[in-house]
Amino acid sequence: MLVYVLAMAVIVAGLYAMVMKDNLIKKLLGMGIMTNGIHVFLIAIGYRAGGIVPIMQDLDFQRFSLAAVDPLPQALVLTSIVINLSIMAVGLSICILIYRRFGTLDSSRIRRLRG
Amino acid sequence: MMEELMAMQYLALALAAVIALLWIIFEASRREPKKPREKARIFACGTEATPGELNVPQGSYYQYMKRFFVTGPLARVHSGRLSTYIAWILAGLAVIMTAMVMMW
Amino acid sequence: MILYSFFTVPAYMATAFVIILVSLKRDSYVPFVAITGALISLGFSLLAIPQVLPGTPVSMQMEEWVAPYGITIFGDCLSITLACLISIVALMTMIFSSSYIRERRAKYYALLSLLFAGMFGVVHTGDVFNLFVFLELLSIASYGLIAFPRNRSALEASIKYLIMGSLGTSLLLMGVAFLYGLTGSLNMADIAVRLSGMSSPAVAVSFGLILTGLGIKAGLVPFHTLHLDGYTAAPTPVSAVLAALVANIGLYAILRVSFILFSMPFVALQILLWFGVISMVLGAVLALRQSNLKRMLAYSGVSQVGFIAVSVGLGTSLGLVGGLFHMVNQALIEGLLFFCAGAVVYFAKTADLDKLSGALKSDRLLSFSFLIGVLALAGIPLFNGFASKWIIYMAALEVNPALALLAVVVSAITLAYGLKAYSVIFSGNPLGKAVDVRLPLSMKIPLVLLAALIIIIGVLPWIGIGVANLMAGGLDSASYIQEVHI
Repeated sequence: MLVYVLAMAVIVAGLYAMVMKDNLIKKLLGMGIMTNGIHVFLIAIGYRAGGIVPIMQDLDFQRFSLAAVDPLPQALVLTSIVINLSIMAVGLSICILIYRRFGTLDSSRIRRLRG
Repeated sequence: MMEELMAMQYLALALAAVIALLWIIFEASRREPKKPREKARIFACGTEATPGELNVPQGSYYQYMKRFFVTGPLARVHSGRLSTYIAWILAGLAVIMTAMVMMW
Repeated sequence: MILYSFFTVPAYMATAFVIILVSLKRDSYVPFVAITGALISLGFSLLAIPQVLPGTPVSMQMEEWVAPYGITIFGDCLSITLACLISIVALMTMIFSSSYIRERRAKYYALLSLLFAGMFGVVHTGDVFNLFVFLELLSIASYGLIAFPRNRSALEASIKYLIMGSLGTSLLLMGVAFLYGLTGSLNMADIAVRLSGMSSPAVAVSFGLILTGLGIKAGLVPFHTLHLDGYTAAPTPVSAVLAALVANIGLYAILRVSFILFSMPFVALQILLWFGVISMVLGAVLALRQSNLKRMLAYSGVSQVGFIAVSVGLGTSLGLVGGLFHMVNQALIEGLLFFCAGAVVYFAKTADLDKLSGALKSDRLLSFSFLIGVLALAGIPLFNGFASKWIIYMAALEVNPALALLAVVVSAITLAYGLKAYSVIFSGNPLGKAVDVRLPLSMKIPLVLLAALIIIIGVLPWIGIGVANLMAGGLDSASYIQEVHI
């Protein structure tokens, strides 16, 4: 239960950074923090108290499936980590180019498109 | 449903034919003269009028629309600040969540 | 049974790969490879039509894992219609880009192919996490494409689109996480079965998160701001794809999830209705004040998405049919308008309406196509917009006559800003020297084809209504579950 609350706190912290901070890098970092919170939430859904690693050992299948932690959310999290890696890579590259063109990373000054 | 749609289509076809005819006439008459001829000077309101004064510049004609429609504050809200836009997204999320949880 | 149209996904991914390989040898072959890939995918999509036309959906499992455990690929009339629509617009975009994009073509076409691959994946998937993955694929490709011109506006638009877009897909992921926690499954049919007995508020929370995440992709107000900047600054063929197809993909995902998983509760209809009304009005009213042609078209895209959301949110079957029909129509109209804008921007070198006045020597094809697009957008009879908007007006009249009146007023405003743009660009007084317009064949083909489709659907609306009825049939939860053989 506590894990879920902590995950939500991390997500809210990430959202706070995305809204309140003006620096683009801080916004991207906030996005990374938020997705970390979502991943913790996902893994916590699959958790089972006192569970074992979901790698098949020499146990009979019935006991194994009752004892193992759910592996599916872990697979989802791995996929999501890879996706966020690419988003961060693209985002940071664009930030580098923005700094070269605009001279600043302050999102309240990068406002050519408005109306 | 289908009959109403068909009736509207035929009416529209007739209307379109009339409008097309009118438009052809309008376009044909709007062609700019190639050489300003001496005899065909246009007199409007008692003085001579050049073609430049007669054709209202199309773009600025619509600028008066900006004053009639209450769009000023709406346009100012789209300020371009990313933080504001994300705040709008979170506000929309809050509205949707409240509506969902209260009326499930 | 094998669903042929799913092969569009590996076809486009292979196209992207081959494009990169070919570009190492010789760069000029790249557009041909891209157009070939688009043609092959169009073939695959059309091949699937006889499979689903009798009203029978097709579902197949990836790698023969049985239904709740494996990933389901699902095709019914809704999916296949959208797949064919995407294929056609994709082919038009590839053709148009071959003369519009002159440098760094390999990266452009590869990203564009991946964008389309992602779209086909979203349309065919029967699994919520697969939906998330393909949505992210198309999003990341679009972030790269919006930043493609590498000028200041494009970079600014891209970083805004990236941050807000990934916020949206993160919300979608959170909703999927909630769903998994509640039901223990990711398969759409399985979740539908398991959710039908539950009524805890957690279901509402997950639906809210998913709806918001997908609403950001679709462009409903207040989630529309990323699309405004994105369509303005992206290369114009990319804007056409984003406005015509990505918004439709977002709406499709909303409809699929709402109807199949959650059985479209009344509150969801209300949310779609009211957010749709605001989008419809805001888009049209603010488009009047725009001085940038592409930004004006972006606002009009938001307005059309609002029309669709309103029509679906009415809750009647007529409204649903009207909304689905308008989805198809709006894709064609926005595509045509953005391609015309692309030709204008290409020759006049500016998108600013104040500078575009009479900047182009008259070209009949371009001006006719733009006029057709504008009239269809406003819902003038004889064009496809009229048929779908007429159904929307009728559906709104049944529920609330004020809504119908509002829709008609918004259409009138649409006509106003459309005609303003047309008269400025094509009948305006020249400010300086007028540029000669010689449309290359690769620009003529998309304009002619899309305009022809608009007129054909406009003059023969029963084809479109029939297709929309078939599409609406796919949004039935019970038949969906039955087909996937749980």
